[in-house]
Amino acid sequence: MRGLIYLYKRTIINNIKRALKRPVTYIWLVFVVGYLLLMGIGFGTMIEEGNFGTPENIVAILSIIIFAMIPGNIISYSRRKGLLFRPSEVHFVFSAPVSPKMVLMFEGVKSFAGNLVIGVLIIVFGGLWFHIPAWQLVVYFLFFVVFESVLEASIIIFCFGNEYFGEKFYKRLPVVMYLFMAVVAGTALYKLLNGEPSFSLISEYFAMPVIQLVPVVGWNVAVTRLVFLGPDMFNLIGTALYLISVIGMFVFAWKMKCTGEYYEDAMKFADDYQKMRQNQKKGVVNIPWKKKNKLREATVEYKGAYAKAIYFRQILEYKKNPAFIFGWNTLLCLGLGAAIAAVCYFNDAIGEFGEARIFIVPAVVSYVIFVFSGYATKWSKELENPYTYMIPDSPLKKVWYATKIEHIRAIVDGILVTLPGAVVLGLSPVMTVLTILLYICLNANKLYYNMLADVLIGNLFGNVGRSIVRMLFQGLAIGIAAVAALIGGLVIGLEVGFFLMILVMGILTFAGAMVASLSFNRMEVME
Amino acid sequence: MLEIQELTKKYGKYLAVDHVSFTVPTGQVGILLGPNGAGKSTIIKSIAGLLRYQGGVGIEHMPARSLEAKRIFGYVPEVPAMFDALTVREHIEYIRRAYDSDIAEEEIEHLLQRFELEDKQGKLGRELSKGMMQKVSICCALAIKPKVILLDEPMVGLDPAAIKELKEVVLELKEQGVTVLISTHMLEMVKDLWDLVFIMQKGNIIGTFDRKQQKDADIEELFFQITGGGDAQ
Repeated sequence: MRGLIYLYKRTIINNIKRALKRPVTYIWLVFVVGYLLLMGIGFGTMIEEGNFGTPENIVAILSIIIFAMIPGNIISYSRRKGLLFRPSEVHFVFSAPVSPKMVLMFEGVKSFAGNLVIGVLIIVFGGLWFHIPAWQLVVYFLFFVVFESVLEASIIIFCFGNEYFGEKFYKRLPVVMYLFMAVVAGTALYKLLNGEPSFSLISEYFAMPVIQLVPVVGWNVAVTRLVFLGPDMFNLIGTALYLISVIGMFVFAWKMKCTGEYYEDAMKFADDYQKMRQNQKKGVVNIPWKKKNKLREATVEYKGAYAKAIYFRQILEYKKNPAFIFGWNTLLCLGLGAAIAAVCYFNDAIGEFGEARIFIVPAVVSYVIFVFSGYATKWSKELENPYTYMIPDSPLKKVWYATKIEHIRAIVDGILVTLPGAVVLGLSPVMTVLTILLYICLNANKLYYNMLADVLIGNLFGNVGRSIVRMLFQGLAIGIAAVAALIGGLVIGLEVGFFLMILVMGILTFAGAMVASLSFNRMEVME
Repeated sequence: MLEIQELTKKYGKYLAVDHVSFTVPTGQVGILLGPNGAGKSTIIKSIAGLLRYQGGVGIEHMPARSLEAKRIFGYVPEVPAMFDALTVREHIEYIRRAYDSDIAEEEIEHLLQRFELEDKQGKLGRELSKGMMQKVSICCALAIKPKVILLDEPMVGLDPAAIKELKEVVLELKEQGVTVLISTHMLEMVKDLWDLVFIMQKGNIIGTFDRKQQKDADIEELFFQITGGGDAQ
C-alpha cells in the first residue's frame, strides 16, 4: 500500500515537472483553456437564451452521460479489459506483496478520479447554468462520486478478481450485456421513430418506467430524477434497487476470494495495449476485431538492384497478403465515390453548379485528404529498417521506390473515388483522367509533406504537432495550386486551369519529396 | 526453499508445462535449462504468480500467492519494464516501501555502485537502455533482501562487468542462505553457479542433476548428454 501511494505520488510529481519544462505544454495549455472558456461561455449563453436551464434538462443531460459512460465501462470490465495495466506494473506491482484487490483499486483510481471531476463539474455548472439548489447538488455529488465509485470498484473486483466463475462465464457476460444494451437502444429507436425529434423526447425516454428500472444504468437515472425532480413511485423503486445493489456488490466484493489469477489476463492486455500504443505512434489504425491475416505463398522476380530492391520486396510482401495492396482504405474510397455520386444525383449538381461541377470531386477529395492524417503502410516501416539506410543508393531514389506502391494504390483509389461522380456529373474522359491525376497528386503530396514535417520538427510537438505542420504545408500547396487553377481558368479555360492545378501541385509535391528524402539519409531523423 | 508440485499450464489446448515438480532447497542455486519453447518462462511466470496454473508452488513452505510469501520473494523478469516517470533511485525507493524492506541507504548506494548505476540514479525509466533496465531490475529484486529469488534470463543485455558482478552476487546470496532459481539457455554463464540443474524439453523436466552427485561435472556436457544435441561436444 505504501509502495503504491509512493508510486502514484512520484509519477504525478515527475510528470508535472517534466511537462513544465517543455514549452509545448504552455502552448497546449493556452489552447485548451481558451477552448474551454469559449465553450463554457457559448454553452452558458445558449442555455440562458434558450431558457434551457431547468431541472428537467439537467436530468436529461445527466441521464445521457450515465447511459454514455456506465454501460461502456461495465462491458469493458466484464470483458476484463477496462483497466489498463502497463508492463512496468506487471513487473513491479503484480509480484509485490500487495493484495490483488488493492492493485485493482489503485488501477481504478483514474476512473474514480473521472467521477470526481464530473461530480465537481456538475456542482459548478448545475449551480451556474441550471440554478439548482446547493443541497441537491451536494446530495447528487455524494451519489455520483461516493456511491457510484463504490459500485464501480465492486464491479471491477467482481469482474477481474472473481476466481469462482470460469472463462466461459466471462465470455458470455459481455454478450449478455451487449444484448441488453441493444434492447435499451431499440427502445430509444422506437421512441424516436414514433415521436417528434426534439430534446423533450430525450426527457420522455428517460422518464419511462422501463428505462428507470434497467439494472444499474436505469437505477442511476432513477436516483438522478429523485434528487432533482422529487420522488415518484418509479424513481423511488429505482433508487432503492440502486442502494441495495451498491451495498450488495460491496459486501460481495469485500468477501470474495481473490488471489490474483487475473494477473494473466492483465499481463496479456498490457502487452496488447503496448503494441497498440506503438502502432498508434506510427499512425497505424488499430481495428480491434481484425485478426492477423494469414499469408499466402508468393514469389517475386527482382528486376533491378539497390533502391529498386525495396520496391520488389514490398511487392513480395503484398503478394503474400490475401487482399494484395488493397485494404480498408480501398473500401472507404469506393464508399466516398458512391456517396459523392449519390449526393450529386439527388441534388441535381449539374443544374446547380453548371461548368464548375468539375471541381466538385476535387474539392471533396482535397478536404478528405487534407483533414485525415492517413494510414501507415509498408513504406513508413522502411524508415524503421536499418538496411534502408545502408543500401548504396541516393535518398531520393529510396524515397521513390519505398513509396512507389502508394502511388499505384492511389491510382486505384483515385478511380474509385472519381468514376461514380464523373458518370453522374457527365464529366468528359479527359476531365475524369485529370481528376484521377489530381487525386494521385494530392495523395503523394500528403505522403511527402508528412515526411517533410518529420524532417523539420521530428517529435518536438508529438503526433498532433506533426499533423498541424503537415496541414500547414499542404494547405499552402493546395492554396497555390488553386490560385494557379483560377488564373488558368479565367485566362484560357477551365480544362487548362485544371491542368495547371495538377502541374503546380506536382511541382510542389516533388519539391517536398526532395527535402523529405533527408529522412532516408540517416535513421536518427525519425527518433 | 522453493517447491514446485505437479505444475501444469495450458494455453488453450496447448500444453506448455506438463505436471512438473522440483525443489530447490534453502541456500542452493537451481538452474532451469532448456531450449527455446521448452516451458522455462511459463514455469518462472507461474512461480511469480503471473499465470493461472494447476498444481502448487511453495516459497519457504508458504503458498506462492500469499502476501507473506511475496514479501520474501524477488523476481527479475526476462524483459524488464520500468515506470516511465520514475528515476532509478525512485524505483528502488518504491520497492523498499512496497516490501517494507529494511535495506539501508548505504546498502542501496553499494548496490548501485556494484552495477555501475550510481551516476544514473536521477535518470528516468524511459531514458534507460535495455541493459541499464536489466541492472535496475536486478537491484530492485536485491533491495527486497529476498529469501527466494527468481532470475529469468538475467544475463541477457548485461555488459561483461555486470555479468561478473551478478555471478558474484548469486554466490553471495547462496552464502547468505538465499534460494536462487535461474532460468537460462546460456550454459557458459551459469557453469560456476549451479547446485542443481533441471533440464526441460517440451514442457517436461527430462533430467535433474545434483552437482555433488555429479562430482562437479560440466553443465554443458550434462545438458547435451540428455538432450542429444550439440554435435560439437
